[in-house]
Amino acid sequence: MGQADSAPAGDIPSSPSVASPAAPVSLFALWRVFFWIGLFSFGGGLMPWIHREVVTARGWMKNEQFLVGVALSQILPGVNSTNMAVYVGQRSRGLAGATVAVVAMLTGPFLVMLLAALSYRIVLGVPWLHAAMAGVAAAAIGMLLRFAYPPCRRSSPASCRSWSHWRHSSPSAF
Amino acid sequence: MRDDSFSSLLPALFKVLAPLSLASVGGATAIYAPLQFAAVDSHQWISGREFLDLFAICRFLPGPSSLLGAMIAWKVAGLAGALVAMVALYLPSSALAYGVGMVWDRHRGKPWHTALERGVAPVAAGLVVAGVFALFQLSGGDVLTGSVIVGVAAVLTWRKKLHPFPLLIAGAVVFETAHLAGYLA
Repeated sequence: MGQADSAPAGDIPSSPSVASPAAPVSLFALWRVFFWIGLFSFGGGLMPWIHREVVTARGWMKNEQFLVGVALSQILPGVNSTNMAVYVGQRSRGLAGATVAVVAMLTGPFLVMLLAALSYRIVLGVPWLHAAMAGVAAAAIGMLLRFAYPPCRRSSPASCRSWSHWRHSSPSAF
Repeated sequence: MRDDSFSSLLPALFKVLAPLSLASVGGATAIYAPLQFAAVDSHQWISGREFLDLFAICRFLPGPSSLLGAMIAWKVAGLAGALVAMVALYLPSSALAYGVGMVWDRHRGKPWHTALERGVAPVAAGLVVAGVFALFQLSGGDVLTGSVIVGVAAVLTWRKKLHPFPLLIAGAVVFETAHLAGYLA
């Protein structure tokens, strides 16, 4: 995630779309990205996944912009991930985008919560489910660790650039 | 509890939950105490035992931990209550984030704005590192969790483009195996 240097050529087209944040991002695409991230968000640590979808895979925004969002959404009150959804949605499609992104992110968890509320005595009695969810949470924290500490690869010193999502000087990043 | 006072229940839920939307700086853990006070002690919507049950189940559901507020609302006021709770819990903080984002954009291109944008990267990195430690502690801080964290980070170093799904499922499988082998309660 976030290895802008090793991103495929078609990743972020070096077009004016980088300069103008009004690159056409469909509301459906926003919905799809944030719905899945929301549905699989166990125990926080979503920034790497959002970064992967929004910056690395789709090029909806620059690293710089994304990192401002990371900082803002953690500093501001509220849940980091929903704040980040608002930030990404706003930059992609304004008010409609922000609304779609944050609603998409909460829809999956809300529906699961309703199911669980209907059957919580049963669910509480399923210990293997607890273990599975704890495992998913641990893996998500691992993704976060990789996002924060990207080490260099011995095989290619150039991949030291993999830290470029924390820097702004990497010319290949944008 | 649900019949005669139902019409006043939805506004009451909103009044309790909306301030919590803005109270949770840096995670939902800050809202547990005021939520418990409001739901159990003050309004007596649910018992302390029920609160703990719902708290326990919420920890294993996807989404923000503040969904506990919506779950309590579902318990006391059904689907309408849950929907009111979602609006109360996430609209204020989202509106604030939107407003700050707008102000931020308005100053785009000014030198101080550019400098701040560049300088914020290390801050964001620090906040993420702090988040890793906070989440590790919250998750119990045990050896198995630590191993999965390091393992996932290592795999991502090796296979940078890997989709999160296989990693999350692998984490579940590791914990499941440990559970079946008797290492996890």
